[in-house]
Amino acid sequence: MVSFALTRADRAILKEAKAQADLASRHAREFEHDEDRMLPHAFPEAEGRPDTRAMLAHLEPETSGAKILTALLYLEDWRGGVPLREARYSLGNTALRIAGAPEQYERWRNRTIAIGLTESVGGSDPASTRTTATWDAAAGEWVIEGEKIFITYAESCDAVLVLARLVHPERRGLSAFMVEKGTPGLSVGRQFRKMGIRFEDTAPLAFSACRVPAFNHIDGDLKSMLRSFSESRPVVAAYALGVTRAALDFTWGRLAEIGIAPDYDQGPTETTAAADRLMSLEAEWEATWTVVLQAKWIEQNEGPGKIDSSMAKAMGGGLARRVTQTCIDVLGVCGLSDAYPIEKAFRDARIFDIYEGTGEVQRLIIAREILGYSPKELN
Amino acid sequence: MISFALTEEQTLVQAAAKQFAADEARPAARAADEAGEFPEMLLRRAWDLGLAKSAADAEPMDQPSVLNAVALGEIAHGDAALAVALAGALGFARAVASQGTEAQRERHLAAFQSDAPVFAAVATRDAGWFCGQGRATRAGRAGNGWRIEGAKALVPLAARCDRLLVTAETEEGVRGFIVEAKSPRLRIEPARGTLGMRALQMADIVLDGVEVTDDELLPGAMRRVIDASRIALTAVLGGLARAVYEYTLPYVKERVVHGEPIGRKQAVAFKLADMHIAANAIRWTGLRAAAELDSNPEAARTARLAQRYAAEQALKIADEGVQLFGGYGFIREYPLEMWYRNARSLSVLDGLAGV
Ligand SMILES: Cc1cc2nc3c(=O)[nH]c(=O)nc-3n(C[C@H](O)[C@H](O)[C@H](O)COP(=O)(O)OP(=O)(O)OC[C@H]3O[C@@H](n4cnc5c(N)ncnc54)[C@H](O)[C@@H]3O)c2cc1C
Repeated sequence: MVSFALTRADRAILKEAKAQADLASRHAREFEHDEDRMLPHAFPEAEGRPDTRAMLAHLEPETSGAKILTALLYLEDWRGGVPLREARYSLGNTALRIAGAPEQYERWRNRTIAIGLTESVGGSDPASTRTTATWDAAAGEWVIEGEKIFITYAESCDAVLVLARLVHPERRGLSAFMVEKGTPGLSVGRQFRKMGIRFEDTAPLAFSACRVPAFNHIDGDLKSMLRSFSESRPVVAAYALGVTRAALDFTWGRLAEIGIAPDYDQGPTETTAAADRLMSLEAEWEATWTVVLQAKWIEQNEGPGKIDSSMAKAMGGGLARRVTQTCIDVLGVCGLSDAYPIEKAFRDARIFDIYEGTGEVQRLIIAREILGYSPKELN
Repeated sequence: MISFALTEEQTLVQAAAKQFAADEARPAARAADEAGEFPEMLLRRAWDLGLAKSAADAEPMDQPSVLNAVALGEIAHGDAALAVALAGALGFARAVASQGTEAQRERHLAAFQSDAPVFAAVATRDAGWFCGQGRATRAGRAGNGWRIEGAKALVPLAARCDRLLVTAETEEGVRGFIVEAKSPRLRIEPARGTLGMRALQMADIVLDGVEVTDDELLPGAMRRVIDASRIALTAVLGGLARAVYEYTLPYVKERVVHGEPIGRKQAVAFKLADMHIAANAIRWTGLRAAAELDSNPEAARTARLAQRYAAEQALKIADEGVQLFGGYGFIREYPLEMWYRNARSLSVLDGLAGV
């Protein structure tokens, strides 16, 4: 039966998450001028409060499902601006779970694993990867050479799952390797100076004669590794829902001070232009929320859909841009001031249509599938 | 518990409506638009789906709003105008069945069990500010009953309706009154030619001091009726949007320009991707509002926002449909221009069962 009613357990978990997001929001600006600072494991206000992810693990059978709830928990984290307790959605961990052998997954499952795909040339096209992994038969090791940029958790992770081109007498193509922190030849560059999401750890990685044992070769097929994006993309859209929820709430809050409130019965000719524009965005927000949950529901029931996550991601990326741009229009010039959260939302929100596949890349994936075109036919 | 699964009953109704839409509604849509009326046979066949009959049933069915939204979406995929023709009766029947007094149900719903189509409307929206009388519809106490003054704009199939559920402002807020179309001082203006949905023969209804007895006042507020009408409109817009998308998809693969199918160009392919994204989102944001209305006293926010999203996106999809067909989009031999006119017409409405 079609239902959008949250269970009692859902509500309990989300209620706590909302309270924590409100507490965390006071720390949201601390990283603006201190970009080298890593997000703390937990802010002091977390003391004595339950860990919402632990609540979810405990109550899972009574919830709408771990994947749906996880997406909604990230929504709350991002609504607060920073998470009260660090809860990494580390794509590397998902990729390892999907593509790694069971013993590989066992070995690193409790570590934070960054994912290293992007290089300075053509990040949207993994086929352009230049980093190499050369087989040293004598040592039984792979030797990695190359550079990755824009890597989330580059500094704070325990290991990185890196994509490299094989140099091997019998094998070629792209493959992934686990490189643990502290491996000689792996170095982390300086934190990127970003427009927004400054609390996120983003830095380049360099691999120079970096040797890893054969065990670290994640020899699953690349397609299945890239499928991990199908799980994470709706979560990125949930981030966008969080940032835009905060932006919309702030803007409505200010409008209320001059007597403008949402009225769900007034038509465009009966209301202010400001309220009407926000109403249109509210409608898009709800539609996006629904589609994010749809992607996660499908994933819970039958595994990630081919294009459902891309649909959610494309909607989230576009929503983030439109909402934060329009809120500044509606608020006027004071919206530019760093005394208010809106200029920060505007800067933070812009990443969601870029990382984990740009909006264009999502549309390529969707268009190929619906039109039945190969990457060669539509690129 | 969050779920996107339709029930077995909903799936069956969906399949029947889908079949009807493909076999009968779609092939007849163009001629009906040109003629400005539906063939009797088509209306009868649509009635045979049994939607209004079961909506008028006193036995509460499971998730009536979800069921109706699913069915209307499928019919609109064939012809949005025909879906609206049914929606009037559905809206009226649901309102009276769920909110009416026992006497009202007996008086007004028996007809819905007949084999001949029954036409009814929920007239919620007053004439617009620039056209017509521009006056709000009001009802005041008059003796033992009420007197209603005002006008309702562009009511679908107005001349064929036997009964109307008319909303009017009273001292206790907006209320609904069941009004017989033949009531004295109720005037149905000649049908107007309209931009789209032409077969609906939309006409203004003027209530010039129409008197109704107290027992024709629908108990309770109009909230649910209005929410339901927005959900129905969302469903129809969703069906229309999907029709445009599905019709355009094969065309861009077949149409060869500059030596290759236009679908192989991103400027075209990405539009199809966006149409697909939005059509899916309209469907589910609408069903979400429907499910919410089925299990809550009201769904004002989600219903309104679903309708708003659907209005904006369906118009955009229909607009792109015309564009992707080029000149063929503009000529009446192809359905695109009709869908565009229909999308513009539907997307300016506030709810389905009235304007
Ligand atoms: C803060 C941040 C964190 C990141 N974290 C990670 C991480 O943890 N791991 C990681 O591997 N990467 C990460 N990235 C990299 C990110 O995924 C890439 O930046 C992104 O995929 C785009 O690649 P690019 O920057 O090289 O742009 P390009 O690929 O050069 O794209 C430039 C523009 O061209 C468009 N374009 C590209 N190809 C096509 C096409 N075929 N058709 C139409 N348009 C096209 C793109 O949409 C874009 O608009 C991160 C980036 C940032 C900014």
